[in-house]
Amino acid sequence: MMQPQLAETLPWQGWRMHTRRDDVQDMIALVAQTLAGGDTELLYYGFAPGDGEDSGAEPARELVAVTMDRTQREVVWRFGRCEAGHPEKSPQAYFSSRLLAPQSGMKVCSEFPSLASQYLGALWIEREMWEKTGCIPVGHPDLRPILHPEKVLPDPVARGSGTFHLPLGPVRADVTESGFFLFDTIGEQIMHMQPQLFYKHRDMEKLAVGMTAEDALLLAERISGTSTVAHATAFCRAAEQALGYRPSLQNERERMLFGEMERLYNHVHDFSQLASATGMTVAQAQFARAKEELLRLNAEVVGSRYLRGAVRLGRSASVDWERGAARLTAELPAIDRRVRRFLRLLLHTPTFVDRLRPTGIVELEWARAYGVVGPVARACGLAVDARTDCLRHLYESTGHACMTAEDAFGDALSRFRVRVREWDISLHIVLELLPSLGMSTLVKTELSLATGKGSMGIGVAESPRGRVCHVLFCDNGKVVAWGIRAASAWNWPVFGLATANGNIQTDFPIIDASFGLSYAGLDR
Amino acid sequence: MRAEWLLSGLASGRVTTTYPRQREQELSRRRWNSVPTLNGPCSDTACRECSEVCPTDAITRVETQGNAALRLDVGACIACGRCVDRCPEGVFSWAEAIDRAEVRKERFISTVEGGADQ
Repeated sequence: MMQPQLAETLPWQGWRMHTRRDDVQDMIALVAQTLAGGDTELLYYGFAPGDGEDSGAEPARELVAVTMDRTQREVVWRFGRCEAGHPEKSPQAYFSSRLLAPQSGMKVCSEFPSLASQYLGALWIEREMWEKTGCIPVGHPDLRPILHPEKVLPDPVARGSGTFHLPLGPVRADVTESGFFLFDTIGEQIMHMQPQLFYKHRDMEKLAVGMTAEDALLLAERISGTSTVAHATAFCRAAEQALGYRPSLQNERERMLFGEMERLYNHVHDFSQLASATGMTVAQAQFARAKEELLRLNAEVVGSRYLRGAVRLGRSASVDWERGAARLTAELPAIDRRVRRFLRLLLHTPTFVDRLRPTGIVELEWARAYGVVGPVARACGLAVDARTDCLRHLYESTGHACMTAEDAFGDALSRFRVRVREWDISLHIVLELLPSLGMSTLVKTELSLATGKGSMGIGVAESPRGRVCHVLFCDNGKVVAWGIRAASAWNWPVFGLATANGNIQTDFPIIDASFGLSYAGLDR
Repeated sequence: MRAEWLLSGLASGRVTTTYPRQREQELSRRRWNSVPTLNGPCSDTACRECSEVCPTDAITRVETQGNAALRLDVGACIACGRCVDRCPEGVFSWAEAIDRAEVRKERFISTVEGGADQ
């Protein structure tokens, strides 16, 4: 059995970490109960590495759910062993008739009570868990294949005269990644929309097994190109906790700075996409220009446009901060002035604001039920931000505040406004952090990987799209199991609901741009 | 230019034009981590640092009669920069420009013969 080793590392300073082992029924019930409270959030939910995997027999699966209580400042790892399935029960017996039957040849290894039946945020997670392992989440309300779009595509739901089924994708225009959307429409009105993703599924969590943490970091950087820093930071924080390493404040400050540089170019990209979706060509071109300038600035400071190689495990980045700080302080204000000017102009353009106002509304109860994160949640008025939730003591010196929308309608305009306010805050943090980095000399401390047997760690970072969480199980410095939960993974299930929430077909590009979701982050 | 096209078309079965015909200043002016290049021969035949740290096995040491040649496949490189950081001899450095296109995959492979030890 894996002995948990939860060292207190800098990001979790002042937090309590607990591990609990329960009967799987109790475990799911307890997780659902704490999540219903409102102050607790689900950071990670999936399978833990079991101890039966070496024996060659069917592995005894163990579930792990990591919850974070914001007010009590505690993180609880709950483990529960899955029960053996009933061999006499056929796989079909687990499925209600209206749902798709499982793929032929799939056997039921074991079963566990579904968390999704009580907490909707686990809907897609459990579908994926079932399809990967054959463990059945008993009582799951919508158990359908999700991982193999080449084999199974969603079926239309609406029937009757006047209804149309419009497939879109998986090949998309622009830089958008692959995704398939099935619209059920009546006239212009969208009645229902089902996204089918996982076209970019690379099974990265499995690829990393057996690698050293340093090599797996390279994979973590490549989960989603536009959230390189967030994934690398979350991974490093998890690995450092698992390996019992305490990073220096300088390390963490650099990661925070890179994270904000990433947010800046991502937000300006989202502004550009939204301007493009509403036909504001001048604004679109100006924001695209600002994005390119920011990418070049990234490359000049770090060496990589998408900030790859900036976040290192157990040591600081090899950046000449004296030169980097000079470049950033010289260039950023000019870019900021231009971006602000066009944002102001856009917010005073009725044709832009009118298109965004009641479009793609995410209802507050959906956001709560699905555990939505990032600007999408903050546009609904929910103060969900990893920087204030669990990384507060790192960020409080930078003047960061969680930016919820003033008018929390949860529509495209609220999401746009949240990003506008976050642009200011991010820029402020970058300029605030720079002087403290420029002074210090380059510290190169190699991380010692010789640690005891069996350890685990959890790392959290706030990506431009919301909270990113990595869970890592290590043994002798090698990765045993890795869990990735990208921000978009929480937001994708709500995207379909928001699209069908009284919108018409032509609203789709606006909703798409205002959510700014990452495909690769979910697919991983 | 047409003659050039015709010749390259006959040779490779494809007709392509370099665009932009002249490298943009932007691409060569700045120091970006593009891909590593080999500066010269490596004098330490016993050292395996570079081939060990390379995560994609883009760097290999080819040994022929005590002569340690170094082989770098830029096509397999992910620009992690470990070789540039770790090589005690300074054999690797970042390439000047970020644009690189080749007609054949083998062209991405560069080799240097071993140095001083012979």
